[in-house]
Amino acid sequence: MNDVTNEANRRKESLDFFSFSLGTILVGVVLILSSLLPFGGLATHFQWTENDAEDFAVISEEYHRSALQSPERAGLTEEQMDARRAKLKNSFVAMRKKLEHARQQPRQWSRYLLWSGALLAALGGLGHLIGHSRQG
Amino acid sequence: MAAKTFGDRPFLVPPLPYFSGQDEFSNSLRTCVRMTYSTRRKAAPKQPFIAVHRFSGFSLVELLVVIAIVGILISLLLPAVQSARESARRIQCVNNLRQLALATQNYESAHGKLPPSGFVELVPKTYKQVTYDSFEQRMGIQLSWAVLLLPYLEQQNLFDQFDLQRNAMQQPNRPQEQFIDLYLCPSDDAQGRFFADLDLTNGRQFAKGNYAAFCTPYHTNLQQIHPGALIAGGQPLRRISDGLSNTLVFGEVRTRNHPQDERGVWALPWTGASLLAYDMHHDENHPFDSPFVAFAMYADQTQLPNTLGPNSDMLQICPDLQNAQLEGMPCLNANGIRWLSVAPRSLHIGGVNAAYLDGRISFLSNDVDEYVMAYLISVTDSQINTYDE
Repeated sequence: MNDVTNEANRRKESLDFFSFSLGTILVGVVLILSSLLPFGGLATHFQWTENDAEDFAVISEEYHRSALQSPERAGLTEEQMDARRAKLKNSFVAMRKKLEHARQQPRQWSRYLLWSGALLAALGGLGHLIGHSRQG
Repeated sequence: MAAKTFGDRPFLVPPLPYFSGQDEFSNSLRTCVRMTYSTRRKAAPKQPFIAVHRFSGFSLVELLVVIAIVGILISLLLPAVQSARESARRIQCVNNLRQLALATQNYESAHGKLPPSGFVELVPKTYKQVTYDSFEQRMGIQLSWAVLLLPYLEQQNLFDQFDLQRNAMQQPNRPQEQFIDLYLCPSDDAQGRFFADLDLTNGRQFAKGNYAAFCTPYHTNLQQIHPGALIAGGQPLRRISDGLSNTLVFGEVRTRNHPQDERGVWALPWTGASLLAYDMHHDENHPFDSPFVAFAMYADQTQLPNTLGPNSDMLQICPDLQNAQLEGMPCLNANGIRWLSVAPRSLHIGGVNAAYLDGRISFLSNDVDEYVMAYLISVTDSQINTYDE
C-alpha cells in the first residue's frame, strides 16, 4: 500500500516539476518574443510625461533666453545674473538627462525582456532535463 | 502491431518484414538504426533490438526551446541587419544631397547666381542704427529654393505646374503635394507625410522631404545681413569669399508624422521646412553689418546637428510636445519669439550628412565644434574653416 502511495506521490511530484519547467520555458519564450515588439514605447511615456515635456520646453526656453539677456535688462547684478544662469543650466541639464534616459527605454526594455526570457527558458530547459533524468 | 513501453511512454512496434532477414543489407540497416536509436535515447532500456516506429517530430518542450533560441538569435541579429540596411539608406541620402548640390551649381551657371532661399517679402528693419531687410518667411509668395531647383532635377513637368506669381497656398494645380524621390532620404519615413493646417496653409497639403538649405549662421530673418549660401534673391558666387569647398549649402532634416509639424516641407521657405538657421550670434562688439564674428557668450546655445536643446527648433506650431521630444525633435512655438532657427537632424547614427557648395558631401558629427560649424555656414566671416569627418 505504501509503495503505491509513494509511487503516486513520486509521479505527482514529477508531473508538478514537469509543469513548472514547461511553464518557465513558456514564460521565457513569451518574454523573448515580446522583446521583438516595441513595448518599450509605453515605458518612455511613463518616464517622460506631458508635464515633463512642458517643463523641459519652459526651462530650455528660459535658459536660452537668459543667455541673450544682459543683467541690466533683467534688473540684476552681474553675479545675480550668473547665479540665475547657472541655476537654469543645472535644471536644464537635469531635465535633458531625464529625457535622454526616457529615450533609451525602448532599447533597455527590449534588452531586459530578451535576457530575462533567455534565462527563464534556459532554467526551464534545465529543469526539464533534470526531471527527465530523475524519472530514469 | 504490439504496444511496448519505452521508459513510461508507449510505443507501437509494427511488424517489420524488411528487418527480419539475415542478409548483409538487413544487418547493416539494423546497425544503423540501432546507432541512431542509442544516441537519441540514452535512457533506452537494454533489450534485444527490435525495430520500432517512433512518432517523429518535436516534443512541446523541444519546440519551445527552439522558438526561444530562434527568438534570441533574431533579437541579437536584428540590430546588425538594421545597421546594414541603414548604411545602404545613408548612401542613398548622400547621393540625393550630391544631386542637389550639382543642381545648385547648374542653376548658378544658368542664372549667374545661386538660387534664392525663397520668395518672401523683405521688410526693412533697423537694429543699432543699421537698416537691413528682414526675411519675413510668412509674407509674400512663400515658395522655396526647392521649387526653383526642380528643372535641374529632371522635374520640369512638376516645375511647370507651379505658378511663381501666386502664393504657395493658392497654387491651382497643387504641385506642392507631390513627393519627390530626390528630396527624400530613406532613413526617414517622410514619404506619405503631409503638412496641413487650417490657419497656416488654408488647409492645403504640403508634401515633406528631408533636405534644407543653410541660409544664415544667425536667425532666419537676418539672412540678408549675415548670409549663408542661399539667401533671399540669391547671390553670385563671388560673394562666397570663404571658398565653395568651405561653405555648407544643404543639410538633412527629419520629419514627424504629424500634419501640423512643418519640418521637412520642401516647397515652403520656412525655418525647418526647407531652411536651416544655426543661431550663433554675431559679436555685438562689432558693427551689426560687419562680417560675421561668432559670439562666445552664445556657445552651447546653437543649433548643432540633432541637438536636444537648450535651443529647440522654432516652428509656427510645435504640436505634441511630449512625442516631439521623445523622438529627439524638440520644438517651441515661434509665436512672439524672434530667434527663428532649426537644427539639421537625421536618423543616421552620430550626425547628419551635409553638402558644400562645391558638391562635396561630408558627415557633420553631432559634436562638431560650434564655431567651425558657424563659420562653415557663414559666407562673410573672412575665415576659411575646413571640417573633415
